[in-house]
Amino acid sequence: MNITLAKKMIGYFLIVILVAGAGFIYTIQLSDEAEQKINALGNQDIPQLEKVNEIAFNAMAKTANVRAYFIYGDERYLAEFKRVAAANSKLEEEMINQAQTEVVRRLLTEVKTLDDKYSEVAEKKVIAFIKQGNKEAAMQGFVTALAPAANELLAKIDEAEKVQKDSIEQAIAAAVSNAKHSKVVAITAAGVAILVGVIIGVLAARKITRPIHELRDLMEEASNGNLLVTAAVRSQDEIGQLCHSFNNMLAAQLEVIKAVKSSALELAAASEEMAASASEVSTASVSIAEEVQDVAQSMQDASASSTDTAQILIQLSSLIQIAKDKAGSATTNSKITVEAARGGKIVVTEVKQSMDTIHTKTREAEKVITLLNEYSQRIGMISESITGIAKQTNLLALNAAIEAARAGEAGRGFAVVADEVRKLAEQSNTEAANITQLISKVIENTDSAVVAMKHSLAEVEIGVESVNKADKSLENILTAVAETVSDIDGIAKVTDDEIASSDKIVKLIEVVAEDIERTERDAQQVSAATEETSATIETIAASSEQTSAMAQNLQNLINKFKV
Amino acid sequence: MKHMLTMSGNHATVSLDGKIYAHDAGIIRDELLAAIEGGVTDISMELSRLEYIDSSGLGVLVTVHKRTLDKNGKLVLKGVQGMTAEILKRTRLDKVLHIE
Repeated sequence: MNITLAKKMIGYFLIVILVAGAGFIYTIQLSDEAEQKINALGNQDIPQLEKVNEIAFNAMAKTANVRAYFIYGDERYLAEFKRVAAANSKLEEEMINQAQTEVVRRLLTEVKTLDDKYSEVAEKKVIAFIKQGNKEAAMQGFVTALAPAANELLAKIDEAEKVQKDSIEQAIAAAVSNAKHSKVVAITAAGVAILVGVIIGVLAARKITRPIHELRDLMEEASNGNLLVTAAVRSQDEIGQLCHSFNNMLAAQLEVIKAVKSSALELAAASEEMAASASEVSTASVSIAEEVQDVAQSMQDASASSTDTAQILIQLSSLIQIAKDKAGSATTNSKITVEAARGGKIVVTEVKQSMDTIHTKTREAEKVITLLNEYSQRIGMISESITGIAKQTNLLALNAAIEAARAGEAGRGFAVVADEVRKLAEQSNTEAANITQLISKVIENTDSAVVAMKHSLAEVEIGVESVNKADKSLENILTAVAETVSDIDGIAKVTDDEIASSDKIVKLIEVVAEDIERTERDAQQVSAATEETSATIETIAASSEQTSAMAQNLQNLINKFKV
Repeated sequence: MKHMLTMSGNHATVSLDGKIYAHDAGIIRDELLAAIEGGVTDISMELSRLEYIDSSGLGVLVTVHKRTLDKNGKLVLKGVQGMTAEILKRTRLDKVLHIE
């Protein structure tokens, strides 16, 4: 079981309280006695005195009522006299029964006797005469019997009062004496209790403080750095526990100091490393600041470049859109060209067909002309035959005319016929000559015609060739135009790409410009941030130097401890 | 679009009305480049009645601006407002072109 310091203290206090308590109990007992006495005084003696006073008052009342009856003769006074006399008699009997001492009882009995006697005298020697109407005898009774009896009664009541008062004074004196005794006893008990308390306190304090002093000395030693001290644990109370805790604390502190020592070494090394790192970071951040400055500068340049780029983009976009517009026109024109070329091709085909027809017809004409030539030659030959026949006919007509002339008149008719024949022969000859001439001309012309035909044929062939060439050219034109249309379509498709569209290009330029401007602002912010970082790193460097110094200081402090 | 070109010496004044699209831009481009080839160096454009211009028109402005600079002249835009001012600002051309 652990006897704790509190229990010890409570034990010491109990001893002191017992001593004081004994004094107090005795004092209380004395006080009780005084109280009883004062109670008796209050409950008995003082009421007794009051009753005696009441008896005296009633006796006086009896006298007064008898006198009033005598003077006024009113029966109410007599009734009152009787009531007071009965009450006094009853009161006196009560007091005799309650009397504490023999002297008092005797005195009260005497008072009762005298009172009864007074009543009797009053009845017999006064009231009886009044009732009889004998005021003289009544007056006589008053003076001779009732007055002495009254004086005797009052003197006895006074005596009884005096005895009562004396008894009360004695009781008060006893109570006062008791109270004084109690006071003395109480003061004595308190003094003894204080003395015992001081002695016990000093002893207890010495007993309690001795190990504390020892512990204090050990603590002082520990505070000077000797953590190897150990407090001896002699008791199981709080002091013992304190010593135990002190030992535990020192052990823990020893651990802490060891840990702090090793940490201080590590801290010193770390703070040196940190200082070195801070220096490196500082260098790096200076370099970053320069680079960021370069970036900011680049961004400013980029901003200018982007304006140039924007202009070029817009020009390009413009040209593309204009080209697209023109491509539209070109497509329309190309379509017209294709249509024209197709029309040309149809015409050429028709020409080609016509040429072929001409060629065929020319050839046919050539054949016809050749045939005509043959016919002409044959006509020429026939004409020559006719000329020969005409000549012969002419000769024959001449011969006939000669014969007719020889025949004379008989031959006159014949001569006319012969002449007519001659004329016909001559006419035939002439006509034949004409025919020959015509045939010559025809032959000449047909020859020319043949030549012309051949020439024409050659021309037609050249024409056909040209038409074929034209056809080919038109084919080529169609192909080329088709390619052109396709190319223009390609251009149109390329320029249809939304990138070249007005909105897109404006948006693109805007976005790029905004990006660059934002980047420029960001670069400036980064520059500012880098400057702040540099400042912070300088602070860190300063702090790490301080930390290094603190670590050194800590090591110096720790070295004070024996561990 | 309606436009009017008046020339006196090496100075030309162009007034542009309505909305300019690629087709109109092509016409204005051809006319102004021909004028510059013909000796015009300073061009002022009145744009207060211009309602809309797209990037094809902006491209023409930039081309004319550059050509006049090449000839030691300049292009001045007058009465820039509304949509035109907005689009010039968005494309940052307001930092390049002379606007009065």
